[in-house]
Amino acid sequence: MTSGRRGRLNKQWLWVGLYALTMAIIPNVLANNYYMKMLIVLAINTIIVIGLNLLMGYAGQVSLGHAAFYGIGAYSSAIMTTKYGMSAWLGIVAAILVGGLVAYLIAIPALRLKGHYLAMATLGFAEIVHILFIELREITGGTDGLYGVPAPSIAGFAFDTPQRLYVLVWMVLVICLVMALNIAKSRVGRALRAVHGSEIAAASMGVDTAKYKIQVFVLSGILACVGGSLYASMAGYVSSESFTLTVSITLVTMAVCGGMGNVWGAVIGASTLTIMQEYLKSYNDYNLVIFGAILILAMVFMPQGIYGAFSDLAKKLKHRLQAIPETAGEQHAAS
Amino acid sequence: MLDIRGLRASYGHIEVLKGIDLRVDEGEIVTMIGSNGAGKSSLLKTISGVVRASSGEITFKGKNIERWSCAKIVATGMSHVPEGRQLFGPLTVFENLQLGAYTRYRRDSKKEIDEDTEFVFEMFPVLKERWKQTAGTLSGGEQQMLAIGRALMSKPQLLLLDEPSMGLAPIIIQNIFAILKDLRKKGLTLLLVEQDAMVALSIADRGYVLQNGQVVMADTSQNLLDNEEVKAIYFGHRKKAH
Repeated sequence: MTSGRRGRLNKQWLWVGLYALTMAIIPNVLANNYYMKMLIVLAINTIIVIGLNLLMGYAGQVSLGHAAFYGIGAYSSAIMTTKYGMSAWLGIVAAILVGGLVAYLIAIPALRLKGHYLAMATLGFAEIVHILFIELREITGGTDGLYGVPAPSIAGFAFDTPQRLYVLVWMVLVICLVMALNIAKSRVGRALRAVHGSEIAAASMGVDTAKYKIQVFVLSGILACVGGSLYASMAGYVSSESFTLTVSITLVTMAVCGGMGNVWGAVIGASTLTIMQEYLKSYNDYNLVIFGAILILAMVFMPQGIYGAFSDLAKKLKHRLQAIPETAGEQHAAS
Repeated sequence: MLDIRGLRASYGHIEVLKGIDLRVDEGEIVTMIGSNGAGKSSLLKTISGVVRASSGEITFKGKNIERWSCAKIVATGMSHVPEGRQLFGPLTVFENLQLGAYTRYRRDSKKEIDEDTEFVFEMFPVLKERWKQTAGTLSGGEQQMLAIGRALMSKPQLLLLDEPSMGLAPIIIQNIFAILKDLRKKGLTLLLVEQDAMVALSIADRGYVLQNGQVVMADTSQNLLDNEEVKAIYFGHRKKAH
């Protein structure tokens, strides 16, 4: 039994290697700023959706407020660098600390709620934060936002071009991916799924349900903040318009469409929907209509998400392939 | 092993346990019978720490545990098989069992936990056959076996069982209760909550009758089986049928 599990784990790291390798090759094939920026956004979305998937897919806690953490990360970074002259790295650290603290303070009361009520509470939180981004003009720049967010640099080497920032963002993504896969496969991941399945049963097993719910909420908030901080570095400015309710819903849609309860589902969902959104921009006013229609069809025909649908298909194919030699053997014996 | 005095618990303003006194000695099977809404499941949840007691004392192995967390109670040697099994449906049989050993990971070695998994598989061979299968795809009887097996993974001395016969065919109920008897022989103490009073009293040493959050009767199982009031309330139809 253990060797079977080990085999699956090794296969998983092989996938991580392949994914990282593909991402390393892509800049050589698509070497222009437009694609690079799109891939940076894709990576940032993936980082956030990985956290959201841990929270929603694994622990079963719905959040419609992740645009708030995304914004808190971006603004923390921007404020620290533009107003206090800190380096971009310290901006990222500040984003993690501020985001983690806010997530912790929100998680304690919010996670007493369940299902729709939790969704409504996080939605309310996101709206409050969004209004604060606009109204705290002296700190956030109001509707104008903040300009001049610097790119991170190491020993004089600045990640100031899309190609360079791509490398940094994708390294962060791979770290987040490995961390999430480790959590998912560990006893913590099992505990989160237990909380999702039945809080009473999880508590009966000795799982500290309140602690795990808070921890995963904080972790997912921090990942959104890291994404926000990297976004600020890429764009060079932050504005409240980038962190609206629509962004929260889009992030949740990425998690759901990719496949909940699987880290790779988050990767697939964020990648597919980011690329789709980008290409649909050419349809101007109709892009949201087409986007919505595709999502409805996807959910009707793939209720388990893209990952779930392909995983089921692979299993069916495997069963069929295994059945062919048996049928052939029976026919041979009959003849 | 377990001593409860004046235990009270509420859901909001509604008091569900109104001063329960109960005792379970080591090696015993004690059953708690009562109709729907009597407070049986709430009592088990309060003992295992899922629901907080508003007052009263719960003493387990000489320690007051009424303010302890579930995790600490499980680690001290009490395990709860909740009502309706409450398995983790999308997780495999093996993962469900691993979760049962959740509090032991820092205390015991992996070898010990693997040995206990094997012990559970020996006790329920069907679970070994289906170890990769998700719990949600098992039959009702298999799910009950998994719920008991999962609870055994924490290596309890006292097992709290909430309606293990719920929704099962009579032949499966017989199997499950035979397993419970077997567990007692292996040294486990059991506190069993059941609506099927006849089945529960047939394997228990002693029983308590619960009504509206209060113990209204406590005696040996044989005396309760012979009690006219118990007969009238719980076996009325059954006796007439005989």
